[in-house]
Amino acid sequence: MERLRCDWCESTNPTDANSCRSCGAPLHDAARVSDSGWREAPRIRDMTEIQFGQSALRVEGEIVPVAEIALVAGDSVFFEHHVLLWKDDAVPLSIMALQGGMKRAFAGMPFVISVAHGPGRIAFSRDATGEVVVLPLHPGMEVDAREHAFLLASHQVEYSFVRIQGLRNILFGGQGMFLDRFMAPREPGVLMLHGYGNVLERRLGPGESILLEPGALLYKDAAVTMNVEAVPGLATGLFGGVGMNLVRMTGPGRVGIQSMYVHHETE
Amino acid sequence: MSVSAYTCAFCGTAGSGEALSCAACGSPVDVQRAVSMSGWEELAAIPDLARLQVGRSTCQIEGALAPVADFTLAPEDSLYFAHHVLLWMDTEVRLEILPLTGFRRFLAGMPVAMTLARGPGRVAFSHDEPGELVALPLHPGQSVDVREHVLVAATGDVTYDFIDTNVSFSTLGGEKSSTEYPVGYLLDRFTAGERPGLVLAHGAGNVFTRRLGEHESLLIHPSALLFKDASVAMHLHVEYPAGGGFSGMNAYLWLRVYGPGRVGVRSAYGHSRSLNPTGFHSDWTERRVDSSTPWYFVRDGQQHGPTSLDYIQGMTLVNRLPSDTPIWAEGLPGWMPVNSIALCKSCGVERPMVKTKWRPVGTKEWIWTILLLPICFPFTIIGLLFSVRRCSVCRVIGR
Repeated sequence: MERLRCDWCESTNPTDANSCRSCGAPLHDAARVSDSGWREAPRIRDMTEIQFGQSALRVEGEIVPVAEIALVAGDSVFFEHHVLLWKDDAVPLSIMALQGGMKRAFAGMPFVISVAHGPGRIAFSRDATGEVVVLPLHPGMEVDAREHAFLLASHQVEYSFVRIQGLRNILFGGQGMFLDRFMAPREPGVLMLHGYGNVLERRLGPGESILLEPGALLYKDAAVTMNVEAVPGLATGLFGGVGMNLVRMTGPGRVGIQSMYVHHETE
Repeated sequence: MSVSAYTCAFCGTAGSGEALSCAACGSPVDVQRAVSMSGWEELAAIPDLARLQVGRSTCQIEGALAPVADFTLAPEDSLYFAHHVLLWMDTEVRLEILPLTGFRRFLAGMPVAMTLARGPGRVAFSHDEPGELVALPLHPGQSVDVREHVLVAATGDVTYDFIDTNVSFSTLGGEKSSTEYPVGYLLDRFTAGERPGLVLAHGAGNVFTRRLGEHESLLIHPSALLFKDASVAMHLHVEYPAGGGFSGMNAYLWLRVYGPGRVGVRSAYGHSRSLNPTGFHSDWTERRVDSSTPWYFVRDGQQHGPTSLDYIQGMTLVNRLPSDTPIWAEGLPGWMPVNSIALCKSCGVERPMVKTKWRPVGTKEWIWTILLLPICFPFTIIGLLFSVRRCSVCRVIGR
């Protein structure tokens, strides 16, 4: 039987589908790729339904999109509490205990992750203009995301975090001390991120590198390495204090950026 | 099928009409211009992945919420930008500092240096706010004024200067009162040299443009101004709503712009603090909303009107009319120079006040003056000391 293959997440779909059941990408739109090789994240149309484990998720709105999920019994999703928009009375919430809670608390990251269990409806949004990016995770895939950028993930996804190595990377990398790391060890899972503004993705070949504004990084494959570099000759302050730091991403793997980057003062 | 030559409605650049968007500004070719009933033209958003040609370099626009300008620089081309808009770049692009002169820029909190990116290579910019990218192609010698902090990038051969906005007012708030610059302290002015250039600006929200004719004026929200042609003049204007009294607490503050030229506004703008109507302000004109007196004026020996008094006064503020332009309205004995006319603050409605040289007035006027002293105080005293203006209707002597 002929199937439609989504070219964003590579899942297969029935031929009569308009949008990918796994990631919501419109199936009949050509991929939008710039001359420089950046691919725009698929624009998920208003009211697109996505299969999220056994549950159905709907993306509503296109300016500040909302992810509304009807959880079936046995399914659960986890999220940071600040993205919760509304929920049915009956949906139980619980807390996911994390390792290294104190370290995270010092780094200004949430050290509790909330979990919502089915059955019932619950909806999430992040209070900024932007795009929702759905990244289905297959077993063996590892994705690192900017802290606070993840909207929700299905219960098959395992959540941890990686400490960014190197003081320079922490201070000037624009990511803080940690990146969230998501992987699906056994079953496929779904990760949903929210990027400020437009989201663009590029696949770097082995050893290929690119310089990014540090606040622009949204996600990357775990295999992509990042290193902060000062741009030579750009320090203008009295003691060379006002320099410009860019982060060098080196492949292999995907790099996702957001066009409304998180702005960091250079001083 | 032959394609007829096409002139872009937004930037006026002639093109072959074969592409889907204008090669100079990215404005789509195949869409009907969206013009509101009031004459504002909605900037047709640059289509996703449209390419602009800038010299030998190209620029591709990506995304629609907070669009990215992705430049492919030819070896001899360069771009300058404020460092914080850089999104990503290829490793071979060279960055340099382009120092700017002007201590005033430092005082105004504006960047004192621009960053210059030299080709070859790719470099991309975006602003961290939802909005639209506006491409302003500059023909040789053409100038455009752009609000500060909205520049995305400009081509290397466009010269960069700045001008005083001369638009400021003091705010309410007692001791916390401060001077507000609703259009910014300085405006960035970009001028193309012998070669055409490109200025790329970011407008928060949606961007609308309008082309004002010669002598045409328009009131806009001061914080909404995004760009204007250098030929467009502007000043503050205050409108007192009917029933709001002269306390000015409910005054509307406007930016009045005069053609000829283009004006661009953005729909998402920061709010400025409230106006203190009795505090310091740059030159402005005033109007009561219930004013309906028709005024006439003479320009180049020809009578014009009817119009409002503040329009004529504003035209003299921006040097579009001499300050002694003869004007007339019902109730005036004859044509008077505009600088001898003011608003009466006693009648409650706009009336012509005729400024005369100090001269002894009769007993009746003295009695009236003393009787009306509490109403017009302290203007009466000041008026008596320096000059006398008399309302043509209520006969009150005022400021």
